[in-house]
Amino acid sequence: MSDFNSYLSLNDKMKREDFFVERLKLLIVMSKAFIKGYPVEGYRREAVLKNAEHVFFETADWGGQYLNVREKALYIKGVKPDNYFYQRVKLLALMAKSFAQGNPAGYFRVKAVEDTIAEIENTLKLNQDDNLFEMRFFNVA
Amino acid sequence: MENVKIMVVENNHMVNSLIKDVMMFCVNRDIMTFFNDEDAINYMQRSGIVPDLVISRYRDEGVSAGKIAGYVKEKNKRSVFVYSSDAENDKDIVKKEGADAFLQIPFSISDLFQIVDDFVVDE
Repeated sequence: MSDFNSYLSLNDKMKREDFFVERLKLLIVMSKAFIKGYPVEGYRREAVLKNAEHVFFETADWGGQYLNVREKALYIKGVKPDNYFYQRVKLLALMAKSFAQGNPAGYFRVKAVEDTIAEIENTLKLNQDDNLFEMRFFNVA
Repeated sequence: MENVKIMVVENNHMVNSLIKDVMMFCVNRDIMTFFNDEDAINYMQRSGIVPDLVISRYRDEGVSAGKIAGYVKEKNKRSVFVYSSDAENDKDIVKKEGADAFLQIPFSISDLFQIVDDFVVDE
């Protein structure tokens, strides 16, 4: 039997901030897939639009306060995000929505997506996990 | 596995929705999602559709993965079952109950990617 268990904190419920971080990671994967030229169509497009919407609304500026539940999760990971971080995340969500809707993506737009991803990964200290793109489903779906 | 049919049965809306979006992105197919086993079985009976891969909460309010497996395995013995749970102890139990894989909650999206690679791409 296979065992899928790569999360760090065991014996813990999945909290709202965990969902935010996982959805943000998914948004980054989706955006990188777009940059690498994988087709964004059909149900895949629907998934990108839905995920971008989730991330966008989760990063809403709640009354201008940035000390909300999401920061707690990121503090645990040793990260201190600021207003610009959340604006970057919102920007990436809008970019994903735009490319999923089929809006033209020239050199500079793609470059802007790359830069935004790099800033977010840098803040979150995410591993620049290129191995993810060795996942075979990218080439068959 | 071509035109793979994936079913998610999970009573937590946020978990259900996240698994659906990841799977939909990975396989570029519609994903059947339900919040309880009764709706899932009723749907299968009505439509005649039998999923190739089921990701179901092992045992929780309104959801019994074993009940779904009982119905599905009768129709298609090759269907793959991934049981999920936030109780680590369930891992050994679900193995005895015939699960093909165990998904520990909380999970990372890379776990879901791996499930697709192992059970959809490899098949």
